[in-house]
Amino acid sequence: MLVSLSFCTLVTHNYYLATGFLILVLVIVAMAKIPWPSLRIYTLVIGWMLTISFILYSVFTPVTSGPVLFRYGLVTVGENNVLIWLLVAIKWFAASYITAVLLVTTKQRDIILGLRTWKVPYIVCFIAASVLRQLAVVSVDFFTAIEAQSSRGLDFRQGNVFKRLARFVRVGIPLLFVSFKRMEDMSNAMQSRAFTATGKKTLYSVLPLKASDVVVMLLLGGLMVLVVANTLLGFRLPVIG
Amino acid sequence: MKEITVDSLHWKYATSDRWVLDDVSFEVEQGEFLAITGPTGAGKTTLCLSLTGIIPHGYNGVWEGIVTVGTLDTRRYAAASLAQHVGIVFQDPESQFLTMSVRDEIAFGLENLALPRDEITKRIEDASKIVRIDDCLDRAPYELSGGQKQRVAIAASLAMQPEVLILDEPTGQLDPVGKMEVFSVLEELRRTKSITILLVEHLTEEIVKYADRMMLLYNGKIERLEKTSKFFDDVDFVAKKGVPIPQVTQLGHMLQSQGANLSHLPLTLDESVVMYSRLLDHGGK
Repeated sequence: MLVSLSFCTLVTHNYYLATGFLILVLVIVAMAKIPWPSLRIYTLVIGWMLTISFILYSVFTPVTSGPVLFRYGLVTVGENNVLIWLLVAIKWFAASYITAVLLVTTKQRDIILGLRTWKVPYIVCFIAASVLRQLAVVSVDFFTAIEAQSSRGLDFRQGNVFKRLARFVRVGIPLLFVSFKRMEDMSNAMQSRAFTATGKKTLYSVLPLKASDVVVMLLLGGLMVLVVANTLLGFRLPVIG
Repeated sequence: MKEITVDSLHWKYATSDRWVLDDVSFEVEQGEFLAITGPTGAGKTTLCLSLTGIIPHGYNGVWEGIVTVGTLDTRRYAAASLAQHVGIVFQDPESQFLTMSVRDEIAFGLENLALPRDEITKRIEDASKIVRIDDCLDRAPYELSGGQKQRVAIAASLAMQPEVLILDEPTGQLDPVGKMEVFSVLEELRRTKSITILLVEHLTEEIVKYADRMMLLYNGKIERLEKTSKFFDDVDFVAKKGVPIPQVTQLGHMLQSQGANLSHLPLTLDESVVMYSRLLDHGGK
């Protein structure tokens, strides 16, 4: 569902479809009872990215068609720029919120087992599992490094953004060394347990595919095909105002 | 029968100027428990990696000498091929986990061996029972205590049914409870399995209970390789090389220097109780 809805939302150029997908995602978020703190980080990140992209659109993207809504010095805000930015905002929110649904409602192990069930190549499943696993380990190392530096008097809450960012360099360096050591250990652990990238392997843990899973997969697959067809056929941007 | 033969092993990492292992030679009998001790930088971990084939295959450097595990020359076989014969447990339990559940962690190596699923299930059950983690098979490794994590790592190695199990400072990052959990597993392995065990460890108080022989590695050289009962005979020499002396052995050494007549230095608390009681019965002489 994550792959399908993200794909559909990101592929379509149609405002109505994109908005429909965002509403669908919001319904899923409500049904899954995703707590606001889980969505807040996505909202903040996407919000910042959209703000930056809006500024870039306004300053660097020339208005070649459509009416100009606002002009001041270097800044020119065109209607088409706003419409594109709006479409991007809808896509990003839909894709990030459905990712939040997946991560909150699904155990990391089940994500990997799902990939295995889909017959995704073993090496891809292994890389995905390693990334998920190492994210957890690195986040623990990150907070350990912050605590260690804080105990030496480094205050990460004082000063302006640039000063705070500069202080994080002192966290990044030990984190980098720890990560290198962990990579070495992980590589050794893999070799010591007969891991090779190729060769015959047994897939021990897999999720059995139920009939309902197949139906949902077919429906979502059909949806993806429709959205791609819709995009390739080319819908025009709707005129607002 | 010899399980491990190391003949004049020299190893130097591509980045190091000196031999990290310098003319190391020893043999280990099948089913023997060898404890390796020595200060940091002595080459203990490098020796462990050499026995598994990870060195020289996974690292750049200069290798001289021969290491044979069973009948296999480790230079000729990649570490992955040797994995069925030599298992290794590393110091940091976090870094060696590769999957999302204890069950998958134990299964990982078995999947790589392409064993049938029934066989994998059986081996997971057997290994998890030996290390007493059969009640947390469906938990994520990072939810476990330090001692449990190391037991999972031991189970993951044991499940591959190696002839040799190497443990590289498995208690180095554990609290006292975790350390005792790992040692109780070693005791169980010692009692129930005929597996050859090499344990790198600083806690001499504990390892003297299990080890048949002890090795002191110092600056890449074997400074001492003796039966455990003889290892601390020259207490001053061993202590000078940075090896912690068991307290009861230290006491025996001090009493000996004060003129007490001890047939040998005790190593364990139980042994010392018997010896010192006898000494007291004889008026301290």
